[in-house]
Amino acid sequence: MIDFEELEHIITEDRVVFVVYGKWMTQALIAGLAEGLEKDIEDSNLGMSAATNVLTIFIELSQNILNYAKARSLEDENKNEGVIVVQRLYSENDDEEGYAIYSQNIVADQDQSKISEKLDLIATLDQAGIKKKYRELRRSGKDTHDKGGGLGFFEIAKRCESIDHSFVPLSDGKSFFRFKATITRRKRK
Amino acid sequence: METLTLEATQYTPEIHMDPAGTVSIVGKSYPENTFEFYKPVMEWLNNFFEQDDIPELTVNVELIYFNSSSSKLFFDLFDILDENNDTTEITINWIYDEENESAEEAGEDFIEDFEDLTINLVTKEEE
Repeated sequence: MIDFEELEHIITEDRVVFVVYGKWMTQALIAGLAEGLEKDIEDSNLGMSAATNVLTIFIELSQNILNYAKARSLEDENKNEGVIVVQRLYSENDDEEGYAIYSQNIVADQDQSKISEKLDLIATLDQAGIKKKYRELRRSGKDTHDKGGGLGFFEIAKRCESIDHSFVPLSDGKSFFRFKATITRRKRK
Repeated sequence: METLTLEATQYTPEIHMDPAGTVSIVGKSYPENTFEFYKPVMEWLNNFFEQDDIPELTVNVELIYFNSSSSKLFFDLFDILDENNDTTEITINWIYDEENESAEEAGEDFIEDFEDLTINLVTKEEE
């Protein structure tokens, strides 16, 4: 039997709205979860603009996993494995709410440098710089197709307060790619 | 030319394209394959501008939320409108909820990117 007490403890302790942990991310699943997330946001005091940002970022990260699995040549049974965690955030006096959205999937080493390059660039930019780069990329038509976090990471970065990521090496030229976006009423400076 | 109507789904907007000169796109947009989904929309637009007598065109866009490939797609769609702006009277209404700053900003970005197009920011209350 699954340890439901332990599971519930983890979920309530960290104020997790939902966790998706599986080898089968699908579009239908993402759409259903987005509807659930809409309901959860309605109960928060987040406001419509930040709510739009939460939903956009959730969709962007989930579709990243979906599209990467489809496009990648990773030839093993773990290629579709992905995790998405949505967490409610509260300030100390509970008056300022927000969300954190986490994702994890397995990426090949040759893709790690491409992802790093974009995220390292984003880390050096302020909000105005991100918007500028986003519009440049969208205009150029390069790097914007469904297949990989091209425009997507800039879409996420311009809609949240902060992003964070890491790579954890696995065997055989692969790594876990872990990502976190924090969304509040504030945006990055 | 025929009217193109696509019903809304959980992740695609309701689309109505009337050859008399109105296009409306309303809802959420995050298809699994955005470019595939919007192919008939782009084809309809291209055919519209190939007619001998092209009527005035009004495009109403009201997107609740959308993914980055939809953002790119709408850029391409506005690009087609921009190319035909000299020969056709085109008006775009970017419709959003007053409280939704994110949607307003997305509209402002398109206005800056397409200086020659008439893009009106319209809050839902004003409609």
